[in-house]
Amino acid sequence: MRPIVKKQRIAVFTPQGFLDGNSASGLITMQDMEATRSTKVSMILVSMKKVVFFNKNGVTILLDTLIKLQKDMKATIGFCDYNKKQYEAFFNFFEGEIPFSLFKTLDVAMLFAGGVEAKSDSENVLVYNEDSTQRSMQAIEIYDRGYNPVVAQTLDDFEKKMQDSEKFVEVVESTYLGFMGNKIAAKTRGNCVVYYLKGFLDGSVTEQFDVMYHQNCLKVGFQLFMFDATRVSSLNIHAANFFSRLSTAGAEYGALIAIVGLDMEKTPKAFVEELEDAGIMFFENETDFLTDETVRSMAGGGSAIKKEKNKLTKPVVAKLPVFVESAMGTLQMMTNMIAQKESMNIQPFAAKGKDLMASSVAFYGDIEGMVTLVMPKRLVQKSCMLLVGEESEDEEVLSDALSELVNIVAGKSKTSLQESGVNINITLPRSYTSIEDLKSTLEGLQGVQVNFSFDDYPFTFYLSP
Amino acid sequence: MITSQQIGEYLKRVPPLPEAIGGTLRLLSEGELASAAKTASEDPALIYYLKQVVNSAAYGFKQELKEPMQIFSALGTERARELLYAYMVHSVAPEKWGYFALDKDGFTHFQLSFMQRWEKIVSAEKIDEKYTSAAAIMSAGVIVADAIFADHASDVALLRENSDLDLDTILERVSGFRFERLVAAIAGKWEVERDVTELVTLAFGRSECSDSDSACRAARFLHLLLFYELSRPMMLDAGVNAFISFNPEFTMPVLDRFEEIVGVE
Repeated sequence: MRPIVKKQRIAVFTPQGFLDGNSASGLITMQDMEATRSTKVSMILVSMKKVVFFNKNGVTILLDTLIKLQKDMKATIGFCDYNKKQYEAFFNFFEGEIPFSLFKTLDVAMLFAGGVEAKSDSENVLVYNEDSTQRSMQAIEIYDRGYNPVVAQTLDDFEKKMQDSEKFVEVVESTYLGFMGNKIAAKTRGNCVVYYLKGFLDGSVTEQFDVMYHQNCLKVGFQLFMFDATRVSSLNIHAANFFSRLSTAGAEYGALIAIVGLDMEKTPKAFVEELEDAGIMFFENETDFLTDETVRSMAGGGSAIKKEKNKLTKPVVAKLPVFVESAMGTLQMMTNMIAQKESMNIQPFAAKGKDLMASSVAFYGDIEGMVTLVMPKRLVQKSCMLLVGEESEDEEVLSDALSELVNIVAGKSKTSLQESGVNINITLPRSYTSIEDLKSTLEGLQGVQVNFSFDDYPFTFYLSP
Repeated sequence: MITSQQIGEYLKRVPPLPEAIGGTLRLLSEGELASAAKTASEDPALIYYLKQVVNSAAYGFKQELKEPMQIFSALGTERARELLYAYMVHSVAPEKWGYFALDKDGFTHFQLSFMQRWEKIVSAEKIDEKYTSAAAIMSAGVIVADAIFADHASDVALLRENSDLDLDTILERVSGFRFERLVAAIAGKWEVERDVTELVTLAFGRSECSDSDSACRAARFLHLLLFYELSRPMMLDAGVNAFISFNPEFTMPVLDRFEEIVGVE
């Protein structure tokens, strides 16, 4: 069984039925392990939502495989989506000594896996666990990921706080943290990617930092990167060199790196100067960062410096039919509608239609570029019905579904290109909060814009450098 | 991806009951076992299939059964009917599977195991014997799924990389059809008793039912048993586990009893 990758952070296996010694041995094959390794995720979970029976043999066999993956990938492993009875069964099987993590739901796991988008201003997370050590550990991990843990000390306290559950972005209960991967947590907030640092920063920051995630963010047009260093005691030359290199590498994309809340008294001046020379900005707190003029102009996109290469290369243009065909094929498959091609031009991006939603995915390898799909919300609703199951009005649901759609298009293109000997990798998809965000990301670029119509709905495919 | 027209064309291609099998089934309904055996013997392929199955280790008859009459007498009315439907399903199974990584032997193994455990449940739970054929009919769904998705394997693989959708849900969302409806249509073509078809439809686990209805409890067992069989490594490896969506809540009322009957530890 192949895992499904959620937000490029968690690989989830969702078996159906029975998980005993017999079935568990066939669940994750060698090929599935290889496919999982290639996802480079930070968490590997088995969802129990469709498992009706499981026993110690089954879990133990599965665990052997998960532990191998954990060793290779330094990832957090465990189970999610279980009910109370299943949660208790895990503890009974292993007599309290559980060598993996348990997350009540996939959303709770995502909280710990990082890489999620901040959904609202409220960052409060309610935490309750009978065990005080677990309670503290979970609160610390949540805090390290940029949230504000509200810890319920007793069950009564928890039930009381649950009466106002809408005050919390997530509720963490019936959750157990085993060995956790030590990747630096990240969140996107609008056009900004926020990383959360802690403790003394030394050479190990290189291993803890998810370089691929960062590069993916650059490739899909994120330009603002804030490192929250309010919980950092100090840093040494190795960590300083790491940030310096990161800033230099991001220059090609016009990226700005800012370190916020670093204790300047404990940080050698020479390091700060070296980092400033590399283009890194320092701010005392988040408010200073968000109100800074340069930062604001970049967040709005206005005067952002764009990627040096602003024109498509010939090899990319030569493969345009593959991308267009994949996009059309996917859309037609998802909607059962026929696409009519209306125009194709090399031009800066020009929005067509009203009430538009957009999502991009970048690709790199033998050829490089970014594919953006733009369509009215109504067409998103129709084309994502296959994924969502209903014509949802929820913007967040539609935005996620559109990202999955872009991912499918990119995956289809990747497979087709592979057949002609062209190898590419694809990044995580990026959704835009508004069409203005997309315009600012594509500003100054010459790409190929192909306009289609699906019945009466306009649809734009844009291939940019 | 898949249109209702394509589904209609597929259903048209499913053959009706051959005359000999139709006649045999009618005679079985009248309790005429000897006449049924005689009519069945008009179809050599059917007799060959029955010999292969009943003389396999799975059936465990002490003596080799050679003659149609011996076979029908050993099986009895309902098991004979079950095997006739299993044969019909077997006859529409593809030589080369297009979507699932299965072959004819693999499917036969699954089908027989599914049927035998179902017989055990029917007996232990004292379910009306007329439902004995239900597992054989339900196994047709796997063949239908393979036929419908054979030309769309890469599209489905892409979809399933992003979302844990089962084939039944995909089919419903693209065409409005569900496998339970297609299996029921085939059952209708094969003159399966209406109650049995209704039980099979219910056993797809998509509709709620009341335990006061005896068919409902039987359907819970059948749904659970299907996933017990689909959880075997061969079926997992072949991708059949994702054929329909498993509904754990639907099976909860019978889980403990199922474990007892089937011997799950």
